[in-house]
Amino acid sequence: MWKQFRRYKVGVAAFTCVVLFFLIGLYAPFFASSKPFVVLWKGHFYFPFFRYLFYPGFYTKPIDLFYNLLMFTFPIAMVGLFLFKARKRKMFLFSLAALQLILFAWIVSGGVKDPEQDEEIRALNQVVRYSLRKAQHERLGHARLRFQKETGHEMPTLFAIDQRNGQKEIETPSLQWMIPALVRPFHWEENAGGSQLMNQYVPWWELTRINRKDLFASLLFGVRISLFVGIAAVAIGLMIGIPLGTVAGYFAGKVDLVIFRGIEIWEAMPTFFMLLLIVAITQHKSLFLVIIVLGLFGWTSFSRFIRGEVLKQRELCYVLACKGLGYPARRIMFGHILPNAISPILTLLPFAMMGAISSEAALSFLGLGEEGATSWGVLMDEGRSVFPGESYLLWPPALLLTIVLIAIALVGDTLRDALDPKLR
Amino acid sequence: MIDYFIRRLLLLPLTLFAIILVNFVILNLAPGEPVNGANLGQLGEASRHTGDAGPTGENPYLLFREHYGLTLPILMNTWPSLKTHHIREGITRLLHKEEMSVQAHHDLKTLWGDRARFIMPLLLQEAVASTNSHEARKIAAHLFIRGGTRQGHVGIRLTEEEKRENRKIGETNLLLNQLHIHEKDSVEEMERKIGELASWFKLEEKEYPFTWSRAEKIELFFLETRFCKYLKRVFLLNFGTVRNDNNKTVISEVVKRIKYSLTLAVIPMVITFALCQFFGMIMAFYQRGLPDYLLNLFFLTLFAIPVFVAAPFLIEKVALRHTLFPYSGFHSPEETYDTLTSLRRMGDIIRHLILPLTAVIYSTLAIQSRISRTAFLEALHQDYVRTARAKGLGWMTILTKHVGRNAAVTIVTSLAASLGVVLGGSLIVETLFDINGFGKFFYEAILNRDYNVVLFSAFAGSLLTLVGYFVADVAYAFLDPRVSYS
Repeated sequence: MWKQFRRYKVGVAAFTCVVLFFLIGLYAPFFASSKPFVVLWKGHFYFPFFRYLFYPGFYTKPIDLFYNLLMFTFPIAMVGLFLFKARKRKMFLFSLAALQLILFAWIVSGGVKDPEQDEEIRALNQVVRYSLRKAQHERLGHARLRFQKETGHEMPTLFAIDQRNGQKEIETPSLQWMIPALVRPFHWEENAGGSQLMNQYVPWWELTRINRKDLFASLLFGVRISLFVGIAAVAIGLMIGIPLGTVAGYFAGKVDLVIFRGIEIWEAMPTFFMLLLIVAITQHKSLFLVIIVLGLFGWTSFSRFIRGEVLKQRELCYVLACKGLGYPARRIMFGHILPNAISPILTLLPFAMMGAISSEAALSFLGLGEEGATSWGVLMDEGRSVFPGESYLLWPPALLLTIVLIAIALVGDTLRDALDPKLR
Repeated sequence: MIDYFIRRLLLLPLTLFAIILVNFVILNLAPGEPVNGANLGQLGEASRHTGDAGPTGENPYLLFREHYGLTLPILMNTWPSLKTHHIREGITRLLHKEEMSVQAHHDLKTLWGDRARFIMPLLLQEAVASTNSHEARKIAAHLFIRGGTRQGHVGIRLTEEEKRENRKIGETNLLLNQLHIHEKDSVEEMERKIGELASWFKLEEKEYPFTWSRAEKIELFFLETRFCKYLKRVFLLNFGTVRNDNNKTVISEVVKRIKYSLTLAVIPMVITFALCQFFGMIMAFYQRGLPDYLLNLFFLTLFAIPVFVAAPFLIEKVALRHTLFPYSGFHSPEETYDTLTSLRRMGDIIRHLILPLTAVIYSTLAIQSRISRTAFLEALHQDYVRTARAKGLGWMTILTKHVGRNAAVTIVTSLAASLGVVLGGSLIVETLFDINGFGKFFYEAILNRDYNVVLFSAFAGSLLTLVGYFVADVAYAFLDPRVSYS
């Protein structure tokens, strides 16, 4: 299949784009974090980045902690895919997934202690913060000059505010050496200074959101949410849709009639309306609720597809052979027919993911997403509050979202062409 | 074919019932306590009425709960048959606050509050009994008052009878509310208040249904339940009133706005139909050629752009730069609009509608064009096309007259089926372009926590989707005589 897919240049480019987005989202802390990777301080090496990586007080959203774990399990899984084959591979992936979940549960339940309990780390944090803020202050030199000239007073960067509040000059020479995060020295949940006024003077990568958090860092972490929503909602949909479709197709007749009518009825529910309704009635704005609802109302197309395929397959000789051998229905359905019938469903996945991602973003855009999350929809909602007029906060997330959606759509289209050239 | 339609029509109520059921389940997810001001809507409207969770007064949440019967058990009502020992047990549990979480205690309080209406004589008995502790008597009296407090009839066009009842209910509520036993009340004060409650009970015993016969209990068992109440509301098309104004029913408000939404739903369909026929034809004609490839890519991209990105883009990049296209409202402000001639009015509306229509149309157009391409390709491979070609007809005639007509069938069907989707899309468009239609109404209701409107909208949305599917099927059968549904 990959060979087929490779022939379509646009599709390959789009696929690369999606993978790139995934990797950026997965390794977002490497790009934006207020904790440096390595610090040489008073002659000792410290690794604040890694000490804070699994601390729920720093990454307050469980989804971030999940991804932080995945940063390590994902490469291991990839290596495992290359090393092992067949049964071993399955075992390996399964145990890795179990490990991920166990560790995740342990972290969320408070297994990691606050690194600041260590006096050393606390002192180091202050020094690091001081030097990072000072660096930002100096980086903005040009913008500061312009700000001073046009408004008449000094630009209130974090460093300037600290100074005004009488912060002591910290001796940075003790900080001998430091590797900060790759792109932005701010964690997305932390105060990054800035104001709407300042935003007019600084370059776009220094923009801050209306709640004074770093926009660039938020955008990076936003990838995580979008992709998670896409994957999780589709996974729930598959888990409901595939068994139902298989059962309907295999037994046909009355069972099929009942299930298929059920599918038709369920399809009549407009997903987006239901999503709005549920969020409005329960007054519960949470990402997981959104994912579950999207999954619950988005499985019908999978069922239809699988049912059609299974209806075709059930007449084939191998099924008759299985029946002749006296295999139980469950084994025939899920062990023999399903592996043969499942591949066409692959073409539906990208479009289903697209629907889930844009639904979540739309909901957040309407102000009904999880509060305090960094979903692109939430960022756009914030941008909308100063719209039209100052829309510089609206376009970055809008652009990224559009790019991701287009890339996924292109992958889906190419996949369809590759799997079923007849349609072209 | 008649058979098929009959079956289809039979399925319609079933589907409707399923939709009602789903709505009902969602309704039951409503939180167990009135929301406080802490989680406001984006615009802060929700703060207006909330906060006061007293037994009387304009508490919208309690009103909502009463209106949809959320104070009742879900499927079976056994509450009238509760015995004294049940109540004693309940009161004891309520007294031991520290043994459970705050949430659990609150839920228990709500539950007994809801039950109070059916067990008032027993509650009074508990309140009067001097063998009970003061705290227990207080709780019993409190529950008794909760049971005696009722919501009046709400809505427009109340009959005289209902108005009289409302007045009576208001008086009773006021009286009962004054008899609430407060923390600082002395024992004598408590005795006095309970005494008054008892005398009130004696006085009202004849008029109020406080006790029920066996037959009545059976009736209550089935009818005084959430599901039954909700079904009744839906069948009577009684969706209640708007939250901020009891004189406006939800349906009348929707009817007022539906013309805007219909404009934004029907015009796009017509335009989409025409345009996607055209594009589909071009793409099919140049199959695998450059125009086909480029248009395909273009439509795919267009399809992927979410409407909440496109609409702000249109507003900022087009409307703000060219005064020709205003970006808010369905027409100019009333003052100028009313002075225009009919022709000018039409022009005004068109000017206002171009941008919202673009925002609604583009994604449907993208999908439908691609569907149309497939339909055209399918039709092009038929034998009759070869025959027509052999006869010496030009491509233009074949494409428009022979192929186009057959391809149109598919498009009409899929367009009709997209009715529900169009409605969902117009919600965002109406909100952003400030058009006072159904979608915006729904959205504002969500921010306002106007449960009645929200429930109705979801119901109407599902219904319209359903109608869309039905129309699609019927249209398909009529347009294509080869289709046989057996």
